[in-house]
Amino acid sequence: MSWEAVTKKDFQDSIRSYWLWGLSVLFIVFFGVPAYFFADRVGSAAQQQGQQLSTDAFLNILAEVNAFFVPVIAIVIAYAAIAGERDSGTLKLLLSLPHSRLDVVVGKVLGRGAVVALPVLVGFVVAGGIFLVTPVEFGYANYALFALLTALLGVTYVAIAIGFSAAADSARRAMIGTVGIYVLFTLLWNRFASGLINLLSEYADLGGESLVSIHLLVKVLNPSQAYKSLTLRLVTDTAAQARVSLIGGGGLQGQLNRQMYAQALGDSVPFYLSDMAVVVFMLAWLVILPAAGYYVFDQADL
Amino acid sequence: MTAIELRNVAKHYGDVVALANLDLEIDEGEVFGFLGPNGAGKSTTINLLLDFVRPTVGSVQVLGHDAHEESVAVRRRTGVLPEAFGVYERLTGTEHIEFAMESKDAETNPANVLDRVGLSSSDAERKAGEYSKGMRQRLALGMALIGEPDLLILDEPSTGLDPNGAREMREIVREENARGATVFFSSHILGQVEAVCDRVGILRDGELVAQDSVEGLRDAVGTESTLRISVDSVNEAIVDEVRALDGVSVVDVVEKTVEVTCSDDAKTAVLSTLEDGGMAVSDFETEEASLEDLFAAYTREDEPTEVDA
Repeated sequence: MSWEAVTKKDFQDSIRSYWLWGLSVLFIVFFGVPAYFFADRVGSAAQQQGQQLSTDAFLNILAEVNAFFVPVIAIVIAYAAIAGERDSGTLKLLLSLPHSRLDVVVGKVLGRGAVVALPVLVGFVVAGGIFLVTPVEFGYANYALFALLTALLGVTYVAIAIGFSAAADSARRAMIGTVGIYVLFTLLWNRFASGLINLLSEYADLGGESLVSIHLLVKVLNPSQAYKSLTLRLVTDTAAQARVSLIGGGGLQGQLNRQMYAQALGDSVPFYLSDMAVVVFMLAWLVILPAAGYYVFDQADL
Repeated sequence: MTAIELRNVAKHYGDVVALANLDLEIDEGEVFGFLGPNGAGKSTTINLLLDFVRPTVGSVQVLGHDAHEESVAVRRRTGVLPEAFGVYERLTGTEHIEFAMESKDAETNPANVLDRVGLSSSDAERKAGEYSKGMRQRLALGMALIGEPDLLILDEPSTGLDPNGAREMREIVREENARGATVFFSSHILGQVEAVCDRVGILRDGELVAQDSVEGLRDAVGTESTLRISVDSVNEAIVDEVRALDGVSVVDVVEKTVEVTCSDDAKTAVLSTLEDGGMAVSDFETEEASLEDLFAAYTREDEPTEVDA
């Protein structure tokens, strides 16, 4: 398959551009430094009080930050992957060789995906090394799953950005598109979800349980929130807890909201809120925008 | 066998007609020169062959494959030097060649390929971002040669090359043709194609205005000459009458000079038509038309030119 050649060349190019090294250093610092302070300060403080602190607590703190930060890195890495080649004319060189436009999209998702995923994993390995030499209890399985989910979050946003990059006829437009969807997913989605539920509760004849389920469904359809909920699931007892935790709001009001949602939901969640469903939603984003971007790209006169 | 076949092809960009009713057939083993001024539609035609753009109407076949439906199959057997391309700034010359080899499943020694197109071993290890325009052109030609393609499509291959480089380029075209490859290349300069082409097509404003062997064109030129006639006034209606005369191929008016390219037999008729129409001839000179003149006449940008090919 010829996407392999595209992936390899793209990856090679990223090594030359120092992105791979730069990002590795960035993630080592980004995960390693907090890991060190967490282990040193929080760990010893907890031990003095006779508690055993595990890496799970560290991951909880990190999940929230990652959901903002990792997509930004992924977008920066990927938004120009195809549109930038269109701007510079290298796309002509690429498509003069026997690659289909589908090969280009697939090859770029994999190549740039690796450029984001590998440094994320390297960062986690280094941070894990720090935990090994400190008294913090190391939850290996959760730690590894968390690292993989974070890498998946990165690759998902790479795929989203590649979708825009394939569809756009210039890198500038691709950037506008990806920044737009980042803002939508990270800053506006909760408002969108709440607005939708308000509308539904006003105009549709739905019971409280349905409304709660629909609200949570809309939330986990967002890949960033799917990531948050799945990482939380590593430490919660039930899927319901991990889903309800997406209901925001600080203080007492937030707590009340979450209690209300938890009660409405009960112990079990509908199939579309199960862990498997949320994983599927997240994986779907790997395909949806690249497919749409490919569709536009394939029709385009270059 | 036919290597390239365009049937009734038109390409519109919105209201702009880039190509109109293009019919073109190029046989296997042929070296075909595709001539025309910038903007005539040469690159559009090449982009159609490579499926970079799709025809508004008509069918495009390359090496027996539909250019759109089976584009990858076409490009597997085709080497391309595209126009206005970019190189991967951070990859070396060798890495470019290796990418082409991997893409085409071809085994060869990159150093030999680069040497053949005139890039030294020290150039090979430099990043292509540091290459001059001419070196980039050589690099892309090297990539095009990978895998002994059955068809070479070269879009303005001499761009950025000095005369020596252009000569080396023609030498490679000859070698590839001798190996059995069909070569289709475009240029806006006649001199670059006449020495190496079996046949040329001349494109103007999206239409093929001439298609002939170089010898054929030369023969046409040999029997024609250009009359440069000074007149006291210009009457467009009379000029049109001259255009309509048998044996007249091109008429061009520059201020009070009428330039007529016509067969030798038609000269008298041209002069008498002008005189009879009241355009008094004050002076005239005759010049044997060269191939260059003919090409210039075919492709001149200004309007009052009519071509009977």
